[in-house]
Amino acid sequence: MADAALRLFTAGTFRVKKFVQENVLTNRSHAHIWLLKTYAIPASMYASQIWSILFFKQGKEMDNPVQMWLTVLKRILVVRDNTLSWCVMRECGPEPLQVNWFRATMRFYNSLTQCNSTTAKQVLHADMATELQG
Amino acid sequence: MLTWRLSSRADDCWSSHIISAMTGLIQEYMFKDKLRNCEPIDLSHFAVDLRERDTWSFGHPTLMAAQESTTAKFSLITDGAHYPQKKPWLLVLPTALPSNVPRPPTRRHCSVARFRLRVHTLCFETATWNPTSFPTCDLCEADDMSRMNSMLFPTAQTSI
Repeated sequence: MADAALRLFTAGTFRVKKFVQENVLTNRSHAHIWLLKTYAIPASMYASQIWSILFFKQGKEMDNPVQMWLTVLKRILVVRDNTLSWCVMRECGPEPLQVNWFRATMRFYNSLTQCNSTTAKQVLHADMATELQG
Repeated sequence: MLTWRLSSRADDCWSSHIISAMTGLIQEYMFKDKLRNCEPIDLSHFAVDLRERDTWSFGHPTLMAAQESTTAKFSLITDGAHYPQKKPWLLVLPTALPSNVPRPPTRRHCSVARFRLRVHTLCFETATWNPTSFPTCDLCEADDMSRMNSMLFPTAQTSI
């Protein structure tokens, strides 16, 4: 499923790049980054509530399938590929994708706890019971 | 038997991954308790905690240890062309600048990033959207168009 999200992110990146070239925004790097944040990153969050749980742990901020995001940022900044990822993210501003995924998952969890569906609640309780028994 | 099967799969269940990922948060125990009781979590507190976790606090000391932006070591694109020097900021020596020229910014990593991303507020940039702003250089007496290069290297008078 993460591969599906990566495909969507790649497609979003290319569409943004095309838009930037068509609208003469190539020398407006910040606009390029904002377009990526509003178009490509939401695409990469497709079903992230399920598949991204493997990348929530501390220390896995840069170890995820959507590493392409950092490559795109490095291309925009015109720096080498071996530049520290943390520095690139600091200077461009966006947070690690892990933050977006974790927040989306907790929002999903909250909606499960507050939904009207008894089935959904039972599934959540069963999953939690499984964790407690483990 | 069913209990045994579920228990053997516990490491891979959705909740166990989330609960183990809570480790390192400031209010870790409260979040874990709420998860185990299937109670909703206050997202505002959670988001703050998540940002405070080593994600950003690790990246910041990396920059501080380097004393300057890592990306500042690479050539800048000024006026549409690569500046030939690999470390352009090393050329800007505070002692060499005349008194009327602004000092190089101390927060270099932010400043270089602003130049790289073109989010600076130099007059030649603001003139593109503000009709009251003039794109001419305000550092010299000539009525030349203000350029990023002349702002970065005012004493060098370089032209690319």
